[in-house]
Amino acid sequence: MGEANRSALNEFWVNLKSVPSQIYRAMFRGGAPVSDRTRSSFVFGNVFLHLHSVRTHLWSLRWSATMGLGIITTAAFLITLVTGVLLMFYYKPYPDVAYQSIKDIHFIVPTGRFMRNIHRWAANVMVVAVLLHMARAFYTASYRKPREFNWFIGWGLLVTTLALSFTGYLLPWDQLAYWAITIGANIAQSPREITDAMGITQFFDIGALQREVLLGSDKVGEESLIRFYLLHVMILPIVMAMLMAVHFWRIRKDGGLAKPVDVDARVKADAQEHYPVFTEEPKKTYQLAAVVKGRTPAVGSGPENTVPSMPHLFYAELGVLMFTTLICLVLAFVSDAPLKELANPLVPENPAKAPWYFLGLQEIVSFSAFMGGIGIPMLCWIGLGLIPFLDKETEGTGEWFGGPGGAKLVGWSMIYGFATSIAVEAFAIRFGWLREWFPDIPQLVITLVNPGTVITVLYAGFSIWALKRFNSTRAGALALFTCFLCGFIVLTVIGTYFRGPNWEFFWSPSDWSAH
Amino acid sequence: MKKNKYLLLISSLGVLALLVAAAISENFLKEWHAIQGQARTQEGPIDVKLRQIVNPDLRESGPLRDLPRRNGTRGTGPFGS
Repeated sequence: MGEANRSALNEFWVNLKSVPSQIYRAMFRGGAPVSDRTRSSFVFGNVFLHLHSVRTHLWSLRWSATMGLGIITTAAFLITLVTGVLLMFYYKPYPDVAYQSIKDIHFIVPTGRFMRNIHRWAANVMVVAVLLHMARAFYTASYRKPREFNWFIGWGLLVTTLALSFTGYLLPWDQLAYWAITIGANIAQSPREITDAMGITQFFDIGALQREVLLGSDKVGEESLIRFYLLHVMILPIVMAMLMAVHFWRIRKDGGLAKPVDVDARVKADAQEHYPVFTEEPKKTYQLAAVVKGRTPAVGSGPENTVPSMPHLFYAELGVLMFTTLICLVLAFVSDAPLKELANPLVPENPAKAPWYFLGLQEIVSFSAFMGGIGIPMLCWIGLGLIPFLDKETEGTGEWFGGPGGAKLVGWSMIYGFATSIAVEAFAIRFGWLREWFPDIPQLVITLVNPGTVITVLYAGFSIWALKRFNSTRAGALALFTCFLCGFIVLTVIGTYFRGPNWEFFWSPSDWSAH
Repeated sequence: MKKNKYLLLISSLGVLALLVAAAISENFLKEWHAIQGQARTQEGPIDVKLRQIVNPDLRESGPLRDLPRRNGTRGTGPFGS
């Protein structure tokens, strides 16, 4: 009996000593990732990592393939998520009280100011990164078959990112927030410009309906704040997380990143730099799946020039994630998030400006609210979504500026895109527009003919020229996308830096008249 | 892969350094902390604390002050006066 007790006690003691190693083995059942087999099980045995492919092509690991922009966007989202949850501990979503709670976060909560700064900068980094990521996907023709659906998901992610940023803008409830959202609400109401011109507003006021859906009321108030808060902290992050999961999953299911047809001839695994392609003889079969003809992009493609995702891809991803964190922290350290006076509906900001990524649209809105707020953005939005279904060519997939015309066409498109938008804007700023020349002109004419529509038509004309010149829809798309990107930059810079009180042009904010 | 490892290492060290710098800056170098620390009334130093919004119907006791905000709510000021 005594012997048995000692044995049980010994066993207990041995078990207790081995708890750490047992926990490790329970977590990583496949053992340390040192062979092909264990590296693979490390990936597909992990709920988060199994969104990745087990092996990654060397082409996809090159810095120039993606510039890490997708991971930067994801990292920025995670940073906003963490800092946003911390801010929620102290934020109170009710007018006036909201402002006081932001002040408390800024001045009383330990490191509250720093957390708010990081949140704000990560949100901006996310908007910039998602725009650049979209441009990268376009210029490498990564939207083509079989990746059309993933482009579609990315298109939704872009809109969700902008919506997340826009809804967060109101939450501080200061003058900046209040009037920026008022501008946004006025843009939502802009279809009234058309219904007014047609004289049907009293029967069919779609503008007022849109504004009310956005604000929950006819003006920015407590209903709007609660609505924006709920969207910002719950609905949109959930939508974002779901879309991101599908986006990552589809990258794997679509055969990884887009690559040139002759990719294997272009890269070669370097034994010094990479783990060998196979440390064990491949023995895998997919049993029944092996006798069924698959249709996914991975079917029929061999493992040549691929390396294990663990560790090659994961070190790259972790490195970019930490680098993004570093950038956000540096920005948060040197620049405080703005907080103006308490929102006052009776004292409009002059100039009242929308968030920076909408200032290009606000520049067009200053001529025609409908075209700037609805018409041209919808055109761009629908056009972006349809790109994969209009360009069915195969030349240049996976290559920067691939396709007929290539980098040279993009270069000329940049020159044309910048020159056209600057010229049209300079003309409108220097000589005014139709309203200044013909005060009685119907608004409908200005809705149809304004700097925004003129620039759009000039861009469309250039795109058609490129399409005919190279006899390629890809060339037309390259020209059009580049032109719109340049137009977006020019209009955003003008709206941000050169527009002052009453939306007049100023070379510098120091020239603004006192108001 | 070496480049990525260096990127991870340098970024991580940078993040750690900035977090330490921010902690020092936030807690010791901000001007308003010094001003808050010196604030005092005749009864002694003022306790700097978060604003609390309370509903009077709950018969909350304590030093409350009316704030120009939502009807039916009152709260203490940022300096707890």
